Amino acid sequence: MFEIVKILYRELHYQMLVRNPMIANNERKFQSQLKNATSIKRGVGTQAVTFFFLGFMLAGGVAFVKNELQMGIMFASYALIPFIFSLYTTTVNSSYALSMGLFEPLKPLPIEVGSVYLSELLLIDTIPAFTMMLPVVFVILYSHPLAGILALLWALIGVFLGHTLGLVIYTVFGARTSEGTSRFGAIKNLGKLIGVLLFMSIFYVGNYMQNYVREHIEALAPFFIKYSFAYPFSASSIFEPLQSIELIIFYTTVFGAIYIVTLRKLWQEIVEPAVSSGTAYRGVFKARTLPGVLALTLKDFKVIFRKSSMIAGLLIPVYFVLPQIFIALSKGEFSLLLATGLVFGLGWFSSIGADPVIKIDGKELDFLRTLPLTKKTFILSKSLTMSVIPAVTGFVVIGMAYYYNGGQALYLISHAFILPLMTSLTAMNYFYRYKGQEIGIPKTNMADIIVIFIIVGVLFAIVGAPILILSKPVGYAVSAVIGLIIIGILTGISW
Amino acid sequence: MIEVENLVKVFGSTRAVNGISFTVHDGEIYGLLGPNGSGKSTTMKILAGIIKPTSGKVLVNGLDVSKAPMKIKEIVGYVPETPVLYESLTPVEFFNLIGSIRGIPKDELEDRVNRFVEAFELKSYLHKYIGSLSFGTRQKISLISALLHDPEVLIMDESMNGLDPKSARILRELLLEFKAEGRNIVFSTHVLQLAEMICDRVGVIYNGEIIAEGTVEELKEFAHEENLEDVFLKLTESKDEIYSVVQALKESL
Repeated sequence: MFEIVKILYRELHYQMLVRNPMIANNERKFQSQLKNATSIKRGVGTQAVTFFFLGFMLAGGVAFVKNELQMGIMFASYALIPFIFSLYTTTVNSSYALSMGLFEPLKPLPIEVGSVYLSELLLIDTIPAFTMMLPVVFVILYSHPLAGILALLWALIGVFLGHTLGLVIYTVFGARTSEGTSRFGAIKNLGKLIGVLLFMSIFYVGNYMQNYVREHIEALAPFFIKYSFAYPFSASSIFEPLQSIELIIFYTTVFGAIYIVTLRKLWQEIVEPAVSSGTAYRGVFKARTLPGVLALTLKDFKVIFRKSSMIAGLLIPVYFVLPQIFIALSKGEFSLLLATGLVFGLGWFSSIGADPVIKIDGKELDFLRTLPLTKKTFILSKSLTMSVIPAVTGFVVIGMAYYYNGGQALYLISHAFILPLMTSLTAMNYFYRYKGQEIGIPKTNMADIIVIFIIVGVLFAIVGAPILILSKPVGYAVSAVIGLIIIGILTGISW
Repeated sequence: MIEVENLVKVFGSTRAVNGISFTVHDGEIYGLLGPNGSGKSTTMKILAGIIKPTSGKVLVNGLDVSKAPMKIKEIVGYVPETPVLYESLTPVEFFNLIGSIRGIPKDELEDRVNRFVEAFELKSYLHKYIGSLSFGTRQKISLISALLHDPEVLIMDESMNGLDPKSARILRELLLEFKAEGRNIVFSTHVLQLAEMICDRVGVIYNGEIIAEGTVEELKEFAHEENLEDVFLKLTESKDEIYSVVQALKESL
């Protein structure tokens, strides 16, 4: 069975390579990269080793903690990494793999649940995130063997939960196709966006409910106080083996059942996508033209909302700031400083959006290549697509800050758009740094995203410095001007 | 005018196109015929400015494809053998996207699309997602999208595939109109009767090389055959092979 997964992996990475202009145009580079990219051992192995060493940085934090409670809490916070990574990889890559037509040759074959191959294919890409947890597990294992084994199981649970939720998101929101547009399309799309966001926040919601129960039902309080039921908080139970095993069994059973049901449903959707009816009225064509950059961005959003679960990838920056928003709201305090931190955080985490945005155009890129479309236009449109969701979230944050702090919050208004745009332009200039005007789908991996994180971090330090150094309105104004200058330079580079 | 001189395209160790040369004059339909994998599609993609040649010279209306691919894309309409379209967009959104990227004035875009939509009977599909449409309907959308900017040059790679007889006939007449207006058309097809009907000259490409070129009549005379299909099979050394291949298949089934 793994032979089929190996073939699918090779095909997927071959398709990515031929659409990567940095490689496809250089025959020698293409041939050498072909060997590495299409080999699971080489492709994932290299990443897994890199992530394993990155895991030592996390392990360092755990190694110097003597207190079991602290160690448990620290491990639980790290347990979010395999979960998010797996959720992200599953939602974004499932859509990408299927848009590349990877499963078309399998459809006519007598395969009962072919989505199991998709699942295995996607799980391969989560191996690096799991290996990142291994040094942490080893450190715990060294001092507390049983807790170490449980930590290993919780890391695996994290991967499995993220993967299963990702498959559910794709099956519910991504695989279904519609016959046509409907009058309520915009409302439906908004509902879809909120639905995906709520689905991704399921654990936060679980935790909120738990806090509510804890505060209101005294009899249940001891159980809820001691161990949080929701993942990743539940991973902190590693020093209470019985409860931890109970929770692991619970998660494995419930999500195991969801996984099996979802796989069957997903295969049905892949073989014969459910078609929901839309408006099919006859009529004349009404032209609505836009400048090229905006037309491409609009196209990206239509594709994201209608067909793809990639929306989950674009919502990751929002997901990162949600806990802080929940905490602030439950406390009833939302300072300008917190709002500033959240807007900067949203801008910084926008980096993650580079991967799904680049992957929106699968094989359709071959069509775009027939048009007189310059790399500059393409980069600018992708940067805009990347910026919109973090910017809108930023405006929501500013709205909340305005409610609590009044007019002062408006100092941040330009930052809500400047920062994500700066990040997006940096990311796109990084990925499309080759010479020539040809557009393509560059290869993106976690190492690239980390490099972008670092570059953006430096840029944000420059932009953020005036806010810390200067007095309030002036500091924000100077910061915004510096941001605009950097955007100007980044736009100039992409020209 | 299209001028191709010693065109070579290499993929890895494969020479997909091996030093071909031909000219397409203004107001001429040039048929590029050849078996699968002979290098037709690669040649056509180079002419459309989509991929770069490894070596050789290709001029499209005086523009060098290696130096000015963007300018080439502005004047060329390219129809691929398989329509690659955004399946989650409707034809209306797709045509608007093309109009926006190509900078076609709104009125012109509206007028042209409506005329093509009428001709190819696409009215009832305008607001459906492209992914839900049949292959033939998608092929019509692909065709229209290549014609929207009123191209000076048309590169059509087996573009009649999947079209119903009426639409195929409309396209054929349209190509003859374009020819009369002096545009260049490079056309590939496996339907040799069609090539015989509309091509002024044909080039037979085999293993990346043009092995014969001329009018259909000239080729018939050259190969001592009565129709283009027999000429093609003879030139590609497949005519004698066919009987024995069919026999072998029969025995193995």
